[in-house]
Amino acid sequence: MTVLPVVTHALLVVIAATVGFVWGLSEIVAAFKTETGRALRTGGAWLLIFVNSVAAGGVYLFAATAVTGLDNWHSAVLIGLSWPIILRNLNIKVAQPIQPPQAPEEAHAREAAAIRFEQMYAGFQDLARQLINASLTRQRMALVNKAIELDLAALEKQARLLIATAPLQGGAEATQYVDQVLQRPDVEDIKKALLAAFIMNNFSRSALEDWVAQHKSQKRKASIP
Amino acid sequence: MMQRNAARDVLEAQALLEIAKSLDPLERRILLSLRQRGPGLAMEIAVRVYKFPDDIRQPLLNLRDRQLVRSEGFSGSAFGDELISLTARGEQVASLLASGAVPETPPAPAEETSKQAGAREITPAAVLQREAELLQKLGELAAQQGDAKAASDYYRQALDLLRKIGAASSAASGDT
Repeated sequence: MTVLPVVTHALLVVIAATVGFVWGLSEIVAAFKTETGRALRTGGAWLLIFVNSVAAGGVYLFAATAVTGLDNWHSAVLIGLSWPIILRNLNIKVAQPIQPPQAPEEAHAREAAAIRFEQMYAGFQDLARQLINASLTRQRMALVNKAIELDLAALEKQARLLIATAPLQGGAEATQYVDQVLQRPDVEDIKKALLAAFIMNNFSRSALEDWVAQHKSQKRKASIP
Repeated sequence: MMQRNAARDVLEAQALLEIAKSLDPLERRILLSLRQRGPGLAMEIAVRVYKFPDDIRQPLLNLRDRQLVRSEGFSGSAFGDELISLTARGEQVASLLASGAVPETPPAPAEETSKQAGAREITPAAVLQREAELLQKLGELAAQQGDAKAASDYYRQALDLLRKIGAASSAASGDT
């Protein structure tokens, strides 16, 4: 194997890792289309991106060390792009008896004795997805808690204003829903929580976030003598 | 092997379509809202479909029993302790619903008695008809893959079944 200067080799690893980084980023964008920006600000997203990046760099490093002729930027980019495919089709058989399996159960047991990287990666993706979803939901519920501190009449007014200005989002059915919320024999905080969740889920999280911030600052100004 | 996989794919697609058709309008809206807006607590899902959390409890249980949604434990909120999301199967069914491949109105079970519904499900002619359709699809797949012999076998079996159905229906009309 040709010994490359360390800097060049490191640069090629960085190229592969960058491609892995972009790949991880694209997975987040595809999975969280409506909340991409917020999803990217969670720990779970960075964990996924980091692992994608390290795995792409690692696979390239391993391949370039084992196979001659891979020490160029084309190979680094290609391996950076294709490492998930390589990994997903890779498995290590823990045991492989020489005799063929006698029964389907035995074949299944042998399959179970193989370490399937595809399953490991899918499990890891699932963990990252759960972490991101939990973070986003916690953020949304914190916002609902903030909205509960405001007046019910103000929340109702905002909900009706949004329905009137965005007729494609529900229209008459949405108006009827707001009426039903207000007529329920629930305590006021539950009505507020439902209205806040209604605004956030049927319009946007920013619609509620901006309004809560604006309303609070107005209240603060009004309270200053 | 490829043929077996293709046949399995056809059967799976057929099963998903049947599941999608059997969902009631509220269950469909819940699945579509989870697809469009992502996972959420029961309260969030309820407001997305203009309902209250109590109204969607049973539909969510039905969807969970059919492995279309799953719930994960969630802590740190007074508004619910279960985060509901689509399963892989639920994603597929929701995609089918979004694509418009499923008729708008599902069969209304309330309008027919359970006896009628049961009779409709187990009619031998319906089963044979279904089997014939699947064999025809398998034949088409085999023909696409250039296996003329397998295609001809599938078509012949489908034809036999259709003949059986025809004979049974003419016998039935003769009786009446």
